[in-house]
Amino acid sequence: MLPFLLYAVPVLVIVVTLYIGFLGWKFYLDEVVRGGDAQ
Amino acid sequence: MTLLDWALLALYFGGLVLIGVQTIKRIEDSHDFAVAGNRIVWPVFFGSLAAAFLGGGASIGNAGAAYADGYVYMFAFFAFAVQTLLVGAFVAPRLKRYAGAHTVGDVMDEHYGRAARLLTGVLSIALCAGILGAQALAIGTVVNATIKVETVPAILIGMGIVVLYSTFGGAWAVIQTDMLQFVFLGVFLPVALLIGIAKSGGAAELVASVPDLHTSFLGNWTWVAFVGVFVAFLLGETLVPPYAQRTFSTPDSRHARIGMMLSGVFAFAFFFVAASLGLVALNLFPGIAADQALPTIVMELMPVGLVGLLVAALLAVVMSTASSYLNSIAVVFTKDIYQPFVNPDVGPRQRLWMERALSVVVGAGATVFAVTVPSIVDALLYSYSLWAPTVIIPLLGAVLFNVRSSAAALAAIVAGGTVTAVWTWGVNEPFGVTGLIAGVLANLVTFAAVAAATRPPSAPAPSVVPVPTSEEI
Repeated sequence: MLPFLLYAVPVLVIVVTLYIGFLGWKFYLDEVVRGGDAQ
Repeated sequence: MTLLDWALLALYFGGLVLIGVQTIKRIEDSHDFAVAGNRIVWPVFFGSLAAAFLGGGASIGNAGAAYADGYVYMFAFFAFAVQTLLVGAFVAPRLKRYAGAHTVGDVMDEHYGRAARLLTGVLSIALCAGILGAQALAIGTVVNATIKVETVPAILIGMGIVVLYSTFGGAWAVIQTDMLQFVFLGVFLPVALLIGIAKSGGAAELVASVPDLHTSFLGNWTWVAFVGVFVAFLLGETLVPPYAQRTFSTPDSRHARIGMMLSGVFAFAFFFVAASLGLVALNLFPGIAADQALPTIVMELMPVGLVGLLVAALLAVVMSTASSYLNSIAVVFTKDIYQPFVNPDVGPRQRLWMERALSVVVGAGATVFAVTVPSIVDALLYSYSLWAPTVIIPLLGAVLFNVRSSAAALAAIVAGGTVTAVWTWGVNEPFGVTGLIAGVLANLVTFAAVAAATRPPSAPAPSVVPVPTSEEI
């Protein structure tokens, strides 16, 4: 179990981080770079 | 470090400054500076909150503890993730009922009056100042342990950048830089673990190579020691000013709940990654100092290019925490002390410039103290142990049960603070019970007793302004 987790957990953390980072990047473009035009 | 590593590290610093500059245009008044105009949606709340609470303790400290004692410290650290989940599920959504709130003091004032706001403000500032100073010191430690640059110039450069973007961009800059820092720490530390496992010959070989006690639940700890640390992590940082402020920056209760609960789930996985890095260090580098476990992996195992990115990730861990606490000090002082007690007529623009000036003064002060008189930082860090035994129970009483007895809140704060101080420093924590546990118990008993004794015949209706949730909209 532990050897499996040692691979699965870091991979999961990377995937989640990249997905949230992508959503954060879209938010940054909308709200900061374009100044929140949709507001 | 090669030239490529230095270039990547410089790129990271440049990115932080660029974000700070770009966010200036989003700051029109104090509301933007403190809570980013309540525009922070759940993915950004999740990432920025995770970056703020995943500090040096969760990464370097956790890896070092796993190196020395195994996974037991990680299991105790899980209490923080449990607390984040619980607060996300039950408290964070209700905090969004307080329209216009920027600080914990705003909630305390609403329920318990101005004296409770003042006490909460003073405790908030002492707590934040201690942690800010500790992060300033940690910048020097990280840089010195990895790329062998002297601590003083490292602290000056690192804190200089933190102060720069925090001052101009306020909460917008702090949250957006947190997102960059979140990506660095959430990608490169797991990558370091995967590389470390490969260098160990695989996960099964790694597990077989460390002592059995290191992979057991309790290790060589006693249950009493485990429970003491677990409770400290469960309560110690509950709704400290930056986390509450970040919650207020969401648009509604749904975003607050989802973002905070997901960050709690993420914390479990991150703590496992950091602790496992400690086991990799134990396998590959036996005999080093425990707190060098993570820096040693970065400098000895990582290929060219990744060294610079991982040093940036370690700095991201520390700098994101520092900027969050710096922003909170400026906001709390202005909102909980200056405006209500010194100058009630201060306008939003004036407040904004005051918060900016405070960011510079406090950031510079923390840097100077960290460089010249670190013992002051140590002294301020004592206030860390006073947060849970003073503010948390009255705050939860207000938010969850609409308690409105100022006598109960004030008595509980005084009782909790006094018992913690006497138990910790007066009688040196007898019976193995920590000052935090004794203080929280005194705080709880006093609050419940006085609240029951002063309870009015019929509870008044909440005077807070309900904010509709997104579902209601």
